[in-house]
Amino acid sequence: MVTVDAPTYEFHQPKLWGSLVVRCTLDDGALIVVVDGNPSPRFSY
Amino acid sequence: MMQVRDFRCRVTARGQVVEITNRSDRGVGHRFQYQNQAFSSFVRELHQRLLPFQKSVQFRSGHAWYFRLAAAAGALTAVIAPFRLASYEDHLAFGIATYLSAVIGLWVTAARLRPRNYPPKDIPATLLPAGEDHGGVVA
Repeated sequence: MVTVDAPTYEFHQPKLWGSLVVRCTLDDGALIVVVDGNPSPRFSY
Repeated sequence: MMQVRDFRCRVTARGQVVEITNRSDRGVGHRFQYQNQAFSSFVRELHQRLLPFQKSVQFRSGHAWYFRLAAAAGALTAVIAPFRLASYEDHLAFGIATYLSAVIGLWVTAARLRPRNYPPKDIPATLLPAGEDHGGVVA
């Protein structure tokens, strides 16, 4: 569950060739990362 | 100001790693996009949220492997290149200028890449891209 107004940023993850789209949400208590639309790590703080 | 420089932010925790960059690269034929504003705000916001936990979080800049590579290349160039200068006998000034440029360039690169800690409250300006978003150069 992500807080509705949690700030979300869209960046790119460098690869050897090109880059992947990375969506980072700074939620209350965790950094939620979605790489190329796939479920990815959640960094709790 | 247009700054065509790549900045990376790597977050590592419990074996998980995510790395983002201010530059989007959609491959050959597409223009790079430098998202300087969003990158800076994200990094600042993330640091702000991590401040209460700063005793258990390491805030480090630089890159250990790239630093070692640049330092080794600089040291090798500094030691080996003078022997090559003999082959520049007719263009010694050019040879010396090339040698000095290479050594100074590698030294500056290594100094930038040297891993070091920084205070999360006061992120060094050199770690964040300055200026507006822009299209950079054509790939």
